[in-house]
Amino acid sequence: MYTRLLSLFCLLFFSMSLYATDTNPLISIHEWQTNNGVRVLWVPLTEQPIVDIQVLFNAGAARDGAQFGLANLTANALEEGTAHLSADQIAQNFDKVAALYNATVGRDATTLSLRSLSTDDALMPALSTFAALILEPNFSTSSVTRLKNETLQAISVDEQSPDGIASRTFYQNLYGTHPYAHHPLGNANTVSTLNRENLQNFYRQYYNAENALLVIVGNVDENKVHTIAQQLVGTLPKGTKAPAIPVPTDLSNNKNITVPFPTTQSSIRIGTIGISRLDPDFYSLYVANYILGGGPLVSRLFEEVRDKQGLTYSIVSSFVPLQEKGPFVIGLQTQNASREKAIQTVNSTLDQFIAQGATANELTLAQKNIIGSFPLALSGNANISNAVASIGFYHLPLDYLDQYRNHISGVTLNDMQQAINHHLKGKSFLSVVVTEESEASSHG
Amino acid sequence: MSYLTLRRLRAGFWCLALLLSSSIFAQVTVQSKTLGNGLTIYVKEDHRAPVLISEVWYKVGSSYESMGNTGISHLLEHMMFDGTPTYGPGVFSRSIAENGGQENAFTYDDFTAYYQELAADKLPMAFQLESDRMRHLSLTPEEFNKEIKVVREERRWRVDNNPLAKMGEQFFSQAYVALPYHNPTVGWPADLYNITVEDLRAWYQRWYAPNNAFIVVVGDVKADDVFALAEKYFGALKPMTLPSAKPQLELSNPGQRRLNLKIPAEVPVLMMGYSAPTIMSDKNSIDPYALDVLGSILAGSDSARLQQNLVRHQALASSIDINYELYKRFSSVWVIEAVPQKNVDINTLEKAIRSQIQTLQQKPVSSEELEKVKKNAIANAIYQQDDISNLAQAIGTLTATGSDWSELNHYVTQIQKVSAADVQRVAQQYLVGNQEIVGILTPLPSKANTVETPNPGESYVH
Repeated sequence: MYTRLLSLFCLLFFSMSLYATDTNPLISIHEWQTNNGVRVLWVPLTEQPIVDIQVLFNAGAARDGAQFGLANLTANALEEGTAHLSADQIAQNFDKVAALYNATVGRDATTLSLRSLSTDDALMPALSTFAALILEPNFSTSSVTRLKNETLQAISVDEQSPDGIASRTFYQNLYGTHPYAHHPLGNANTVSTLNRENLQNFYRQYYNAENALLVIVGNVDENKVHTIAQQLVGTLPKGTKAPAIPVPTDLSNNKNITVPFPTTQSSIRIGTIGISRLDPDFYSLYVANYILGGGPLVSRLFEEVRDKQGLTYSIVSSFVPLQEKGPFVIGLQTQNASREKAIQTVNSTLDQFIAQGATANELTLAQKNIIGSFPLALSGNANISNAVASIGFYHLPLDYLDQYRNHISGVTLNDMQQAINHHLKGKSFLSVVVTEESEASSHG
Repeated sequence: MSYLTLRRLRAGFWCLALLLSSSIFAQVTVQSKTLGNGLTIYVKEDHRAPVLISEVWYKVGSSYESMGNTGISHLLEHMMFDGTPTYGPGVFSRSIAENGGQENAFTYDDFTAYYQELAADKLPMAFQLESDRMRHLSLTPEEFNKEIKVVREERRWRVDNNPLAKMGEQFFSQAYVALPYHNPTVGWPADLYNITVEDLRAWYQRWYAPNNAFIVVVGDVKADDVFALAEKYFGALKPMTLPSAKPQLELSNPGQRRLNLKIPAEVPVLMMGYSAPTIMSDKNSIDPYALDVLGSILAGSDSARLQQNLVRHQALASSIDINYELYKRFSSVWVIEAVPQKNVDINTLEKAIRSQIQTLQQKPVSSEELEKVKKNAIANAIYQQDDISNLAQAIGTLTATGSDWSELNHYVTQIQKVSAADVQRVAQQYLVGNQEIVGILTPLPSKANTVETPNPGESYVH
């Protein structure tokens, strides 16, 4: 179950790295609405006998309310039984035709995905089972109880590594009472209280046409694709659109959190509130972050902390743009003895970057990499499907992929500095360190 | 710059760590050419997108290492990014980045590989850089002193701070008795304090040569163009005399073993392993394929027996996976990895799994189950062709372990030949006591508490 969450993270990550080449549309995205108002995006690709389908609902963990973990449990319970099919039958039906089904829940979205061979004898049975679990799940009490226990185990796995604890602690303390604060899995206390009625209510409230998006990529023709759309989402109730996510508030003061944990290596997170996916500074900050800590093996943070001093194996900074402001976060791990040195290096590198920005040469190199590696993000049906799902969910323009290169190449040093000044300069930062208790007292 | 973590439970976040048994492709055609110096180039054309992946593989990894030097292949892999006389430290990565590429490297027991994902017209640049570092690595003490620290941090992060990985490391160190797979690829902790830069120089000189390497390119290229480029950039490199490969065999009767590991953790883990053949240790045998089918029927998908009976019906396990690599230089271990459901006694889970194994030994599997697995083998072969890096990884793994790309197609054919009687026979033959190792991770308390400084007024809710 925890791997499912990670794959959603991958989706969001890839959504940040898309942009366009040349003059022709890279991929042609067809768009329409079903009668009940579900937006459908279709990309025909005939080279492989494969179809990838994603149904996204604006029903991520941010909709949990006080019942942290509710969205995740609801999505995972869909395949546990429908009005006419048992969990065993659902599993058999998919396996018999070699179809792959998955449910992932992030802070923003619940994504139900299906990969099938495109031949009728495989696709038709797979679609019929997929439709049943989207439209008529029965949320049996016994399966809910079992899934709760599985979720508790997944939470425990998260809590046995310093990285898992650092990440949870970072979000909790950065977002406070905001719905992005809790982990999509929830915590042991909240998950324990969830029941069948909670899931049914969540499903009724959020799994509707107003909140849905359907993405179909692969080897299906125009006639078939309309039938598929009608079958999967055409009978969803209209429902009520999920309200806007509240705007997160910035921290009022710098905040240092230390979590004692028996370990030889500390896990560190440093960051602040960042930007939403539709922020006009998205491109400027994407390039700026590449220079600071986003570029694998070549960023300033990588050079200062790893290449020069060998203090960490992995150091990455990122803006995580969500429907509302996601975090800006720097993550690294270092042995307890070099904890202070690593934190100092990160802070001085960050401070210098905020104060002085990037050089013209760094900007050019960043643009070359981001633009040059663009086609990689669109190679293969699975990557294209994820890219289109992001475009749809975050309401990006349909020519987003074609325009991306222009947006990136248009970023200037001044744009970046303005964006950094606006989003990072003078902000209060949160630092979280998970470290050995006996050595933790000096932090802060 | 990492090592493959196939041994980790649920290795979901390492995108390349797909078990090869589930990543085989139908009717793949690969073109190849061997240069005069022994370097072979494998090309699979795929013209869907204007991109390629280029991988340089070396036939060296942790299974080539001796005690006291464990982790040296992986450490050398890190040093390969730290410069040559022509291109100083960091130039390799900056050049790839500037050309819009994505790159990294990985080390495992039977191989070390370096890859770049690039726009289709950028291959010459990658070849130029790779050919330079194949024979001309600087290996300076300054870079070594920094890189050894990075690798120690990598070990702490991947293994020491991950109870599942730690369990896997100790389990496999006892599952392999007479084979070098006993050693972890990242190296034992003490060795990461004792290996010297001179050791690395000797290791590099011994193994990094064109006749111990091969290249895999998948993507929007023409094979003949790639061969010509390879000749241009790698053709002049001199071959070396390689150490002779000595055969190594696992004990025929290693005996029943039990590992009880008690470490700070939150979740118990059960691993049950059985010494098993690979296509290299048992050539021309159906057994590795039958064991692969057996694993799929037991725990290969949501409708598999253990998922249906132990995860769903009896709620004894929260997850169960099979880990069986049938492509290695030597023989393998067929492993069930399970996390018990919350509040379920791990011994109860072990008994239930044993009972399922007994059923497989006593009764042939149904034709429906067999058909399902065969259909999935074909579909997986098709799905996996969607991703050029998966295909390159598969071609490389097969070549490095002594087989070749034709096994991609042969695998699908062999799976179709496996009968219910084969499955029953391999269950009886291999899943037996004197081939067995059982590992149990029992968690010791590790609960974190939180202290906040310097704003004591705010509290933290766990």
